[in-house]
Formats: sequence, structure tokens, C-alpha cells
Amino acid sequence: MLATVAIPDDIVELILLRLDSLVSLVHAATTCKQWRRVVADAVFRRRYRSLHGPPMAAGTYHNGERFERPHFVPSPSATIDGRHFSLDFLPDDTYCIWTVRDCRGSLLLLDRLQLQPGNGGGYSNLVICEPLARRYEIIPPLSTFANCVQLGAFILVDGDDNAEEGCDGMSNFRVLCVVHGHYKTRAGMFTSGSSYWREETFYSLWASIVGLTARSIYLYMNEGRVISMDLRTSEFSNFLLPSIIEGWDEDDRIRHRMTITAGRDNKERIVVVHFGCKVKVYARLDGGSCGAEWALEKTIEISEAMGGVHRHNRDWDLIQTASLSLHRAGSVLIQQEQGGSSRAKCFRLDVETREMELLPDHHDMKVEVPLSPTLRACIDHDDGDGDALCILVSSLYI
Amino acid sequence: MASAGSGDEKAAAAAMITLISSDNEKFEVTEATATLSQTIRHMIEDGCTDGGVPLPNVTSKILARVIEYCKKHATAAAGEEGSSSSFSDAAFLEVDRAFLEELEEFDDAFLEVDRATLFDLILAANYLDIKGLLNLTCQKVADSVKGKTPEQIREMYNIVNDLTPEEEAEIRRETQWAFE
Repeated sequence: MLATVAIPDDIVELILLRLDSLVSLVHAATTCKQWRRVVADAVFRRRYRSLHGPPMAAGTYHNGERFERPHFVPSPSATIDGRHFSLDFLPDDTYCIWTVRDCRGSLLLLDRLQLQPGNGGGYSNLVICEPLARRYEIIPPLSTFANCVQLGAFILVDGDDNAEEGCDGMSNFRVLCVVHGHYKTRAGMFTSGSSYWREETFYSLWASIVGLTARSIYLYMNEGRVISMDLRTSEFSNFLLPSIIEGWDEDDRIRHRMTITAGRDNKERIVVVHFGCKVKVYARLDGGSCGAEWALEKTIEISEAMGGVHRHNRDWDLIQTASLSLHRAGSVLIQQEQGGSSRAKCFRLDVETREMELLPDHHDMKVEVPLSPTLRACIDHDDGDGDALCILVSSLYI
Repeated sequence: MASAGSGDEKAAAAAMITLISSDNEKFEVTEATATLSQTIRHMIEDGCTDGGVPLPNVTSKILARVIEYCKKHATAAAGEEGSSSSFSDAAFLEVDRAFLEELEEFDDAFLEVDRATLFDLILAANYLDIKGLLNLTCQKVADSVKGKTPEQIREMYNIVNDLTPEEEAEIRRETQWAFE
């Protein structure tokens, strides 16, 4: 504390909020207990983010070869030393396959598959880590039955249900995971600080994730059943896909050509890609109330949304399991294979404004889930102190 | 204030308030100056300023500086109100600009104080709820901290490092990137 006069926390906060360099903020937080306490406060960090603008990407993680750990590729605009993002602090197990599942804020969600030498079997855990703080936590397994398939694993952060993203590091996160096996689908939510999953099991021949919005995740099951889970309350509800959606059936086509999203009005929309080039959007009648009938709201020609420039000879697909960091209200993610060795190009199609936005090249398309393992470390780029990452502040928790 | 310019308003603006510092010194200021402080504004609204306003948290030395700031900025506030009706008038804008520059010069000179006084001003601005002064003084401290190492910050503000060596090492380890 200040030796001369006692300065209350709220005044220290007013001062530190005005530091526009994250290096300065970290230095200030290292001076004494009081200043550290102020900076470590979640409310302070939220205010700091809202005052100093949105974070920039520090770089991306790419999944490596079989037994390699995912490696970090700094973004060209960042001048940070990539070594700080190394995952060498993760536990050193032989016969482990690490796969990046999601990135939010300073957090990275990995799947660790431990192979049993000899018998070819293995078991997997989700591991959440904060590379810059060199911390990790092994999350207990969701599924108690063997040989199930992980359909998706996502990091949820505070503020997912409104526009502003905030992440408090390892102290405050949730992980959403869906697995399927033995005719059972299990969806679970793991909250930081707890030791177990809140989970729910459904019986179904198969299941796939067909949509993830800031509020809900949608699972498509056999017989046209869609189950949605509210991400805030973990409550489930379900509805049947309407017969109006042409040709829906149990085959793979509809599964990959249909997604559920939410408009800016928070009402659900079913979005279907027809013949690989036409997007049909369905909304509920009666102002969108649950149980109301679905009706075609609009049809979008992708070539028109592209301004007439696109390759007609390849079909478009919906991306249903991308990281929530790519989600925007009223939009869906679509991609088109480019053929040969080049990657698929991924776009965000706003079904309300019919605008298409090409997502940046650095998204590693080879990783299917997530689409973009981008570490959104916040770089303070307009300061002479060099690049710094505000997420570091979260590591000041003791 | 919808009724700005009425006779009552003018009379109120000329009313004087007595502020009493912790060491019992009395300062006579206009109501317009005093009401830059939200704390005092509320006291005036509640009608409890007769016989002076005791400010047991503010010394006469600091109160004198605070009043100096309020006087200058009360004029500025009055100037803004007066010119708002002819906002599109280029000549007025030119005058405003000159005045704002003068105000900025005043603020810069005002902040040329030792660090203990700076913190006393912050505490007074916080207690009296004077937003502009609080902003100004906090920004001054923040500017002085920028680019300094923890050691330099402690030295500058006489901050006692009460972190244990382990705690400090832990922070430095986790924020290694910031210490290169």
C-alpha cells in the first residue's frame, strides 16, 4: 500500500484503468498487494477491456502430426515471441495425441487421447489451459461408457449471450461437450471450480450437432428430432423438424445441409442449403413462439450474395460446429471446397442482410473442430512498450 | 436547466457558500463554483449549507487548490452554456477553442505538484465528487506510471512492497512476457 496515505481500492482502480499499455498494467500489479488485488478483480478487467477496445489475435494453434503437440503460429501483426505460447508445460505423457478443440480469450481447450500401448485402445480427457500463464487443468471425463465419439467440445465464456466477449482465464470458464455412443447421446456442462459435469443423456440411434449459438446448442437426432440445450440454464427442450423442409430424411444429406441459428431478434431459424448453391431460411409463424409452425422466410442465392463471383462447380456446405468465437447473431458459416490441395474457403453469411464475409486466412481449416483455433490474446498495439497481452492479467490470481 | 436566465437563477448564481476546511479555515465561494462538487450540490439542494459546509477530510492547503480548480472550470461551464445557442457560429467556435486551450494550459500547470499533494487532490476530488478533477488527477498518476518497472513505481510513490518474494516470483513467472 501507499506509505503516505491510504488510497481506497476504487481510486486505485480509476488510476489503473487509465493505463493504456498492458505491460504497464502488469508492472503496476506487481508493485504491491493492493494493486494486484485491484487488477485481478474480474469487474476491473471487464471494464478495462471495454475501455481499451477489442482484443487482437496473437496467432493460431495448429494441430500437429500424430504425437506432436499443437504448435503456435504468431499472427503477422504480432511481434510477441511465439515461445510464450508454447504448450511444453502440459504434462509429459508418451503415447498422447493432443488436439485443439476450441480457443476463447486466453484459454485453449485440448483433447488428450492417451493410447494404451499394446492393445490399441485409449481414453481421452479434455484439458483446459492458459498458455501464457502456463497453467492447465485436466477436466474429468464426461462419458462413463467406452468407445463413444466426441461430437463437439466448446469453451463458453461470460458474455456469450450478449455481444461483448469477456474471459477471466482459468478462474471463470465453462466447457460444453457432447458425446455419442451405444445409442446414447450425452451433453454436459463443466464449470470452473467444480469437479463434475452437469449432464443429460438421450437415447438415439445417432446424433449430430447442427447448430451452436450464443444461447443454445442444437442436436439433431433420428426421426427429425431436434434437442436444444439452453447454455445459461442447461435446460433442454425439443421440437420436430417441420415436414416443409423438402426431403428431410435420415440420410446424411440433411444433417450436413441444415443448421439452426438465431436471428438478431433471438428467434430461431432453420437454414438449409439446397442443391449446394441456394440457402433457404425458415422461421416460425406467430412471431416465432415455440410450437408454432415453420414457414419459408427467404431464399438466398449464394452467387448473388457473393456478388456473382463464385465457382459454380462446387457445392457449399454449412459448418455446424465452429467455435462460438465465430458466431454472430443472424449468421451462418458456410464453406466451399476449393479442390486440389487448397483449403476450403469459409464465409460467414448473414441471412438477414444477405452479406457474405470471408473469414481470415489464418484459420486452420484442417482442424475441423474448432474451425479456428485462434488465440484471441489481446494485443495492445498502439503503444511504444511493444506488444503485450492483456489476458496475462488473469494470471494474477493467487 | 430549462429556466436558465430567469431572475431567480441569477440570484442563485451569485449566492455565496462558506466551505470550512479540516483545520478550520473558511473559504467563501460562489454557488456556481461550489456546485462543481456533486457532494456540495446535494447539500445545497437539501438546504443544509447555512453556517458553512464543514469538510473534515480536506485541509486548507488542498481545499485552496480545489477551489482554484473549481473557479476556473465553473467559468468554463458557464461559457459553454452561453455559447450553446449559437453553436454553428464560426466565431464562437474559435473563441471556444482558444478558451479550451487556455483551460488545458491551466490544467497542466495545476498538476505541477508533488506526488503527495497529487494524491491528496485525488482523495479530495473523490470525497467532494468533482468528476473533472478526479479524471485529471488520476490520469496524471497513470501517465507517470506508464513505462515504469514495479521498482520504479514503488520508489516514485513510496509504495511498500508487501508481496512475499514467492508471490512476486509467481506473478513474474506467469507474466514473463511483460518483463523482457
